[in-house]
Amino acid sequence: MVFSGGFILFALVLLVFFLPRSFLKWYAPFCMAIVALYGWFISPAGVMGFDFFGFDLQLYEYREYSRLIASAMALFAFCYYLYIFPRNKNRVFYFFTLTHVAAALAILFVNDFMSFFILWETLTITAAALIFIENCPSKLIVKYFIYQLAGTISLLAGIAICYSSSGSLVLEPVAGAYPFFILAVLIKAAVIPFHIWLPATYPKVSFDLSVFFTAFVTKVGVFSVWLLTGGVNFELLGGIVALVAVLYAIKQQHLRSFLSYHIISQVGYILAGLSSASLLATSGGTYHLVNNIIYKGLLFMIVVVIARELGSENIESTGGLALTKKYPFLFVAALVASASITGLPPFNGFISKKIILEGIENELAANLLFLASIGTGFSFTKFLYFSFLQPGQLEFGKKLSFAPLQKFAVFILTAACILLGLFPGLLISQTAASELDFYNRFAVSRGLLPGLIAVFIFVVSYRKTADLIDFFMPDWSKNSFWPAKTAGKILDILQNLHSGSLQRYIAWIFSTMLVLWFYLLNNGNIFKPLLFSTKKYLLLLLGAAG
Amino acid sequence: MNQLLLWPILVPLLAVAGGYFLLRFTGLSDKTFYLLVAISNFIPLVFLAGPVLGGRVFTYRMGGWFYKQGIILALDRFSFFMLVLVSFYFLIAFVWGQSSKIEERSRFFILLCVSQAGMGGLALTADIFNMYVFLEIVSITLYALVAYKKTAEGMEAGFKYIIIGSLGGFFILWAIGLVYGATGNLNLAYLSQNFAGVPSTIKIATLTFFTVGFALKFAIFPLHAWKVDVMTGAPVVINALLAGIGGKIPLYCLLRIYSLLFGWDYLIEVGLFSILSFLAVITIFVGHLMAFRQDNLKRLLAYSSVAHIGYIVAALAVVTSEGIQGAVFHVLNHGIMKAGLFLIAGAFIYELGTENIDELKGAHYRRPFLSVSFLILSLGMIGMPPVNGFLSKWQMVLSTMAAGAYISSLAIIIGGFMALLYYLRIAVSLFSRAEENNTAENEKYSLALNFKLPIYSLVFISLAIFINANIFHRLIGSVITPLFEISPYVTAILEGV
Repeated sequence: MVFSGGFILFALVLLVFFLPRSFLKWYAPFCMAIVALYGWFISPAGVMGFDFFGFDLQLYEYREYSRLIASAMALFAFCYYLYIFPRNKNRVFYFFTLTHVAAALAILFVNDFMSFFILWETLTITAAALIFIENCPSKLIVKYFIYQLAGTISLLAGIAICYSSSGSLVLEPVAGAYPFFILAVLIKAAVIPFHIWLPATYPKVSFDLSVFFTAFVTKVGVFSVWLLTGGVNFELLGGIVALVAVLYAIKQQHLRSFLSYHIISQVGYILAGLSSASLLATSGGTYHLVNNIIYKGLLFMIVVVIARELGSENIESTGGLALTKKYPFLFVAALVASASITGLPPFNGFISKKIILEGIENELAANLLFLASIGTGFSFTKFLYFSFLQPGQLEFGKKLSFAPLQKFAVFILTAACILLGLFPGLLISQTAASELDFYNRFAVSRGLLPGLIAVFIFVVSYRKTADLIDFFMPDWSKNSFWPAKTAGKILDILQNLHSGSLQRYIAWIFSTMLVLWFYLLNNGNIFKPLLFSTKKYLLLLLGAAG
Repeated sequence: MNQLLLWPILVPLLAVAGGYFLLRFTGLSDKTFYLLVAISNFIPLVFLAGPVLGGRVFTYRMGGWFYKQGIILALDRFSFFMLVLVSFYFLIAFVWGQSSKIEERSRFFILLCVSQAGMGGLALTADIFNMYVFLEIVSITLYALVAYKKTAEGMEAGFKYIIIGSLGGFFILWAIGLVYGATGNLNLAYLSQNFAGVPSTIKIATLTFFTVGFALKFAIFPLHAWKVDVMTGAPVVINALLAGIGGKIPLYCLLRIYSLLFGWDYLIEVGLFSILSFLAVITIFVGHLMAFRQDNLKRLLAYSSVAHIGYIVAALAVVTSEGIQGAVFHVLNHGIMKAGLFLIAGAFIYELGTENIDELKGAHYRRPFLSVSFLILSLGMIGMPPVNGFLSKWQMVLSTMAAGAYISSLAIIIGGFMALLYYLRIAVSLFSRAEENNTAENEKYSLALNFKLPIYSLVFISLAIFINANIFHRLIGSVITPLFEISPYVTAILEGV
């Protein structure tokens, strides 16, 4: 019997209800540390399965990519629990967050559709439950659920098609199911144009949840591209998504909205890499996924520290020099994270972006990704400038609530960004990517290029560029949702039909009887006999009645 | 052993007849007495379980008459399954009925007993006319039980139920008349061998009337509209009974008639199942869409019931053993979950005095366990793990798709999505904080055991079924075998034991 870290965590979660409450804030990071170490060092090769409800469940099958991603997720979760250490959270919060993490870790290793579906659902339900218990507006849950479940429906339909053609539930998608799987996966990964749920919920839930959500749902979604739609090439879509989402991100003035669009943009990168036919790009996509979990989590942590104390989340009016002076450490972390996401050497984003760009086969997609890097650099220059470097911004006397353990969490992730950048061998071993030379003169200068261009554009004409982008990117979120209107009309008609009048119901019954009789008499054919031999059936009917 | 078949019919009836005198002269409490009767109905099941599940068919000739003249009771796996459900739901009704809030409790119990005898008879009988008689017994007692509250709504519900129910009975009786005219016998086993030679026009007419008559009782579109009005007016415990077994046993009868009288091949040939799956898909959408708009909690649950009957029929209509297995499993699962939901709704309605969903606000903070139970069961209704509804929905989705009924499969999938939205609305209402919380604190009293016990046992069972999925998979798989292999049933009846 071999287990994935996720299922070990599922077992550990149960203890949440039995431990003393004050102990939980220690218990959660402890669990995550165990799982992270287990995932990184042990993760045994082998399979584990059992029989359930007549189906063969395969809960564990070793995959190298899954091991890397699971370790990164567990590391992030460990840091997250340190990060929320000073906040008093109740039992239910720990239960749902740990279950969410466990489901995300477990789904990476499963090898059959039934457990895949169950864990997929668990992710959705626990996320919605978390939105609820954090007292966020209930409208958010409805929005979240509607989009997520559109994906779930599609996934289930795809699974049913796979089952009907292969007769088993092993995770081997058939071509007929691809359209459904693609829809499911793109919704879960928040790929444009199915991304609306992400900017609609992530920036609006509570601060603690915003940080938590970054690392799991979309990452599982985009990794499923590799599991469920292997063979469909999304390189170009990935490139377009990366660029368009970055342009939207530049448009945002709200701190967490801006990061949310960057999630989508990074998903575009990963999508382009993972779905590529070349092995190099696939591995690059995976490494980018791992790095993304680390630096995106770090960015959200930093932003939340700023936003929580200032009360305002408007980028152009936060912080300024005061923040840099008081919290040089925060500034350094923000600098490292921004450099990582932009892909500047010597940070981790640089490594994985380079592998993707080397491996990707579609030239256009590669160029779009390069442009997206410039956009990312521009956007984060803006963030760094307004939050940390802008002179003459508000001087706040309050002390940020930046506890030592929170600092420690931020420190671990920052260190991870640097280490994985300086020593790519930590992540990349024995694959095609390990033969690449990252730190020769050409590669470094090419890596620095998007950052330099971005800073140049920002310095020369920030305002004009921002206005230009504002002008060209329409705001989609304002449009009303036409399916809702149509559904409303259908509902009205149905409501009028069910008036409660007994006569009407009896009329329905007799007409059903007649139609059914007529239908069966003609072996399932209604319209033809109705048109051509009405008289005959009238006589027959009269005969039967008489 | 064979005499035990009489127990589910005879003991409840004897309890009604003898109970009056017994209670009068011994001073025994009616609550305890009828509860004991309900529990005692499990005794024959315990004795019969082993051999029946092993594949043996028990028969009992009423009055010693042979099948040509008399009535024969027969018990195979499928009828045993229904019998267990009957005993179980009536036990729940009797436990719930221990409440002192029910007026003229003895009468309530008597009606329940007669109804139970009728349903037991429906599960056991092998004679179509006898089936009709039992169906009428069940219907008549249910009319009275539905109108039990004597409110305007209850009366309306009872009246509608009478009219529609008698109409259904009329169709069934007509069909029985046709069968008798054509063959001269009404025993199902005899008919399974002799009905095939009947002229096709008569066969078609019989099929139409049976289908419409029974479909009227279990309510698929467009024969569904009465059910919601009835469930809105009825007491919740009767709703639980209707959802759990009352709406399912006509389906059982219809399946028996289909498999024995007509045979699946013939039904596929005349195209019955294509129209049934068409109707089932419409039922799913109509049920869910209508549930969407309801403000009344009971009405919403009733529409959801309609939609779930749609699921069941859609899965039946593919006529593969997998599909029927999923459908029969869903009969079990939906009954348990919906009965639980109705009872929880009843507890809320009883406590807060309102049936309006929006006025349930903050109910979680008065009754945390109840609302969490509601949440668990509604997860099951949507078809999410770890509740039993997931299993049967999963099986129905896969089997319909595997049989090539893509539209049914998609309808079941999308149905779950639509259900989520309206259950979510209830959940949000239950869990959001009400403005005036102080009154809630003052009126804290504990829910009586007779309410708690049925609710929590239903929740427990629905979780337990999920955990023991393997056992239930095998169980349901063996339960449906009589539908495809009719020969043991037929030989047992025709040759006598």
